[in-house]
Amino acid sequence: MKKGVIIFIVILAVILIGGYSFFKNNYNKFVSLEEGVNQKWSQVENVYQRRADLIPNLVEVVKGYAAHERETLQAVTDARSKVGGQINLGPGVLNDPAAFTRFQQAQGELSSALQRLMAVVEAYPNLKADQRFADLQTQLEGTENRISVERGRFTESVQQFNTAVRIFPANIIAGIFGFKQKMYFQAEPGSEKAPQVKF
Amino acid sequence: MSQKLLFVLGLVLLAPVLWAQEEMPTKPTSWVNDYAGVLSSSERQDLEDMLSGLEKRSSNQIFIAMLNQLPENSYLEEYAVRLYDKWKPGLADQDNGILIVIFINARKIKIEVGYGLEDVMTDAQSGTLIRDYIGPEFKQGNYYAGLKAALAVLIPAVEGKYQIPVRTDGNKGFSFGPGTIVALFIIFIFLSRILSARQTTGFGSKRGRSQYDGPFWWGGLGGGSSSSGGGFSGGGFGGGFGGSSGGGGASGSW
Repeated sequence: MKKGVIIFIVILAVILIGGYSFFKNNYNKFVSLEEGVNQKWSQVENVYQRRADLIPNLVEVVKGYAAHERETLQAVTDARSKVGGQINLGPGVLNDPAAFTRFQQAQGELSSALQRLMAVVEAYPNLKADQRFADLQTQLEGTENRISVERGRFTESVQQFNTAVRIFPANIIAGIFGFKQKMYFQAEPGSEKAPQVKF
Repeated sequence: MSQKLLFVLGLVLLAPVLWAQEEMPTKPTSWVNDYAGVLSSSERQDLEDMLSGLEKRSSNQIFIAMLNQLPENSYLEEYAVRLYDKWKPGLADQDNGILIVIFINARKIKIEVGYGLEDVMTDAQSGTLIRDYIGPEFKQGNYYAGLKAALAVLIPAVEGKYQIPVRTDGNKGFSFGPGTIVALFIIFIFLSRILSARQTTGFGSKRGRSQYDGPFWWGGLGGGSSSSGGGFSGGGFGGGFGGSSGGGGASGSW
């Protein structure tokens, strides 16, 4: 064989092997980062579900003392049913901006309704003294904290993933295999602190 | 000129102190970490005995951190989550840890519960601990009494779920015990059989009958002693430091 042909074959092999590694490593990296995102997302859905589950009891207990606050209570119940259809959408929602925005909005409305309820409750000392209410309030606080934590971890994982699929030249592989950037939570105004439900 | 120098020098010397106040302790030195110095050493020892006993019996790790000052750009829940992330009480697979963070000056407390213990120490239960057991005592400045009362409830509550006794000879490290001896024994027998089989097929230059006189030295090995070796993780802890938490638990003030 001519020397030139041998050199050509060697170079071709190096390119093929290098290319294969490049494809494989990046693809696998995207897969594991995406798995991380999906796992964190299901945590986020879990804690939002936890909050939604607390609402019926909360409304019952408050009604026992503050039935007059019909509007505020109704707002909470309505917001909760709106949210009810939204949870457990699965990771597909992360690639669907419209659906994701709806999700965040619905949860935000529930947060606002709850904050209004907690403000109204201040005027009912007997309600606040009720052990069931105190427990529910503690649970609500704990859940809001969990939401804050899991959202933070989720956001971090999405940032990692989005960065990985954007940088050059990895973004070529991402494009070929259809790894798209994922949605994450837009900061709500005044959301730097976890919503504090004060005693 | 010298005044300026003194000023700069002062800053340089002060810097570690200022830095240290903002610095989050990266590792717990023990189960009870009293950075605020509000417990006497016998009080601290008593609480530590309770917690180290719990860990030995069941691998649950409860850490207490008592600090003076809540850093300015932080708030209780956020600090507690970050500290839990650094200290990681509990085993990685079980997440069976709890972190109690107390800020003396701000009079705030957070009980942060790991994922694995959330069902045996619910938010409501943590809230009750703070409200009914810790708060009243802390209001009087009885930090020891408050913590002891809380641990008396906390420890039995969490002990039921995980019962993984911690090995006192350390979790890592190779133990050269009786099992190993027997295994080596068997391997040597195999090897010697193979070797002597080769001899009988006429490999060697010997003529006549070849004897099966396998390795004679494995007789001595049976008398070898079994010692448990391995590393002992320092600080008295038996392991753990892998758990994580989701921000559960309860916070309160007194």
